[in-house]
Amino acid sequence: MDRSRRALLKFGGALAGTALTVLGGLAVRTGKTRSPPRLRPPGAGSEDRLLARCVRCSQCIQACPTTVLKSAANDGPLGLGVPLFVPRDQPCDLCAGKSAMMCIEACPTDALQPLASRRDVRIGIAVVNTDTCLPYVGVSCRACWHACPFPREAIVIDGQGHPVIDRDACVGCGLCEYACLTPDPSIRVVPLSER
Amino acid sequence: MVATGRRRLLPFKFWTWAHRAVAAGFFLVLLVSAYRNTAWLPGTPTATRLLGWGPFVDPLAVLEVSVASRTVSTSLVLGAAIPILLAIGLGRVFCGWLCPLGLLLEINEMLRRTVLRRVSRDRTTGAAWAIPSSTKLWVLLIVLGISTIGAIPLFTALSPINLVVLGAFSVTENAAQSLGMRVPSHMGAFAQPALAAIAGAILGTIVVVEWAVPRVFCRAICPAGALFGLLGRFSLLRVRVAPGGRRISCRHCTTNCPMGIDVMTDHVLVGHQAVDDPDCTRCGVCTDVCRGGLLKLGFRNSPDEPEPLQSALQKPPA
Repeated sequence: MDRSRRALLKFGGALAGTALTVLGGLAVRTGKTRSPPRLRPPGAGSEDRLLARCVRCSQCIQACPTTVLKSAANDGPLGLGVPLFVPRDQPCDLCAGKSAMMCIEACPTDALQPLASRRDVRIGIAVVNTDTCLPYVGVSCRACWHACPFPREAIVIDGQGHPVIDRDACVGCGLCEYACLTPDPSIRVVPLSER
Repeated sequence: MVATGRRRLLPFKFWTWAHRAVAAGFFLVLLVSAYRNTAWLPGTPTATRLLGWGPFVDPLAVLEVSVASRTVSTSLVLGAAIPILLAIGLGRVFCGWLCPLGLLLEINEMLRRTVLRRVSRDRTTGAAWAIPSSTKLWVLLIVLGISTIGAIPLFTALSPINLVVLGAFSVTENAAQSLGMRVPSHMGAFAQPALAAIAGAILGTIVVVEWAVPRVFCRAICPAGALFGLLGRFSLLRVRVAPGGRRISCRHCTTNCPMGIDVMTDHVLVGHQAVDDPDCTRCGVCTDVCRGGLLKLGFRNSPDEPEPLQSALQKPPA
């Protein structure tokens, strides 16, 4: 009696553990996508890749020479401590003048993957709002073009003076969004997952 | 803490205060280097460097990242090499000597005992230790399972060890800024209440629960500690039990062990050569409070290693 009861308990425990694992895993899988799309540091790749590899150690955040990177806290428990940045507050200057991008150098788990060149950075894509962008409404302006680290490649000024984004060349650093003159930026970087 | 007026080899509880001081120092240097010079000790206990050396990554974090990302990279595994070697050689030494959560919970336990001593003489209530320490092995398995299915390093993401440090970063940053000091902003001012809510909920629960079930987290729940315990199964550094000596069964080792190991019954009285317990953090508290002078920290197979005890007190193997 006692032996069979113990066996039953063990079986029940194993079943409960398996159920907890599977249900917990599925809950985590759906739960982690709840957070709004964020702009992540260079080399992060897709959001899924970053969330799977980041150990939330803050080393990239601390290494950022311009303190652009922040520790996420509003993205729920699973996104806590994952690095992000908000270009309108502070854009990523891709560590201009530095020998390498410091966040990538600092990452201990390759969650931020080493890149051959700064042109390989893919944080997001700049999108122009043609309703408010000054050249589109008739005012001459090249603020984004001047701010862009790859002018004439990522941002091209077309025949009518409008800024046009080259989706293959834009790295998503957000310098244009930071520089935009309209109070509500008329050029915004959207994360790659939103493209 | 408990005994007074006894003879000690050292003028004060050396190991007791040494392991607390080292853990406090580790925590403080993490904070200072985050805001003064990140070359010293950047990051958190999950992953750090020391003066440009490293990285040193928590072995559980490496395991979780490997299953979550479905890749095993050499650089990732190399990051855990030193912590793994330390655990193999020194057991759960991280838990006693470095872990900031361990320190916090040890202080919490001191507080609990001070308060409860006024209420009752019972310091370690028997039922309180009812959750077996092997529970954390199941937690480890489940956490790795959820990490695999959910494609996220689950314990690493929610780690209360990490949260102690992230929370402290946030408090330090706010305090420094309100004092008018120029410190880099890492936490992002917009995010403070959310961080406080998550960290407060997880850490608060552990602290409150440990008033009912003392030291349950480190002893029976923490999957990182479970992994260190598995790695350190045959570690070199151990608390030795000297043969001979006076076995007066004062049980101070047992009542004072921060990990709730019954040193007296499970190791000393059965004639073990050392306190070979996977949960032993080598903190040395038992060596400080031992009234018979039996317990000493020492290395396995060193020339001064005593022979296994063969005494009348030795119980026949169960």
